[in-house]
Amino acid sequence: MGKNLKMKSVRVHKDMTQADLAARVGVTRQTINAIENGDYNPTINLCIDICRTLDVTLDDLFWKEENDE
Amino acid sequence: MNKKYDERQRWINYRLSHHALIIVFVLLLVNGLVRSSFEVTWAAPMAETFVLIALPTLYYITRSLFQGAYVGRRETYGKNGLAFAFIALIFLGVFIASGDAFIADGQLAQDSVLLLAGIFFAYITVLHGVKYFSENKRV
Repeated sequence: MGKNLKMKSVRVHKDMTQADLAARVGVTRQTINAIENGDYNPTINLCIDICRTLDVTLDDLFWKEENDE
Repeated sequence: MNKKYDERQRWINYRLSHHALIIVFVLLLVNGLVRSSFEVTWAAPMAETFVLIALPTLYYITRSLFQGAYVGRRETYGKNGLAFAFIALIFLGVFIASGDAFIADGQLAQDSVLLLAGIFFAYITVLHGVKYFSENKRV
């Protein structure tokens, strides 16, 4: 599983730290870090919460084209 | 659903619990084989039980802590560490005050549990300390 650079990019663009995003979606900072590093595959519910917090769609953050791998 | 931990923490803790259970099975099997095959008694019953429980517990706590899954969302490494330090000091203090032997008749003595428990909680305190400083350094 590769790094989720899209999520990191959107979060930084929104001027949020990992801790800020974690607090908003109700998880630990380490969980956000693990998702961005590709070490943890979040459930669809957490994906939706993250997308709502960052004002983006699931496709924007989590959809992978075949050549993304 | 357990709200104390987030979904990644629960997933890690389930996985590590499974590993710890396997370690318990292996330790019990090895201990049983040693005791029955070689007729070796290496510890008093309570000390033996403590060691067999402590080893998988330490495995679980160490890995869970360093994967950020042991401390819940509303807890802090500092507070938890202080609580464990207090418990460690009580056990070590009672052991030192009692003046009991750690090893008697070539095996772990009954009262060695106090020292072992003290070391057990001191180790957990150190782990919390390491995590506390590494987390604060990161922020």
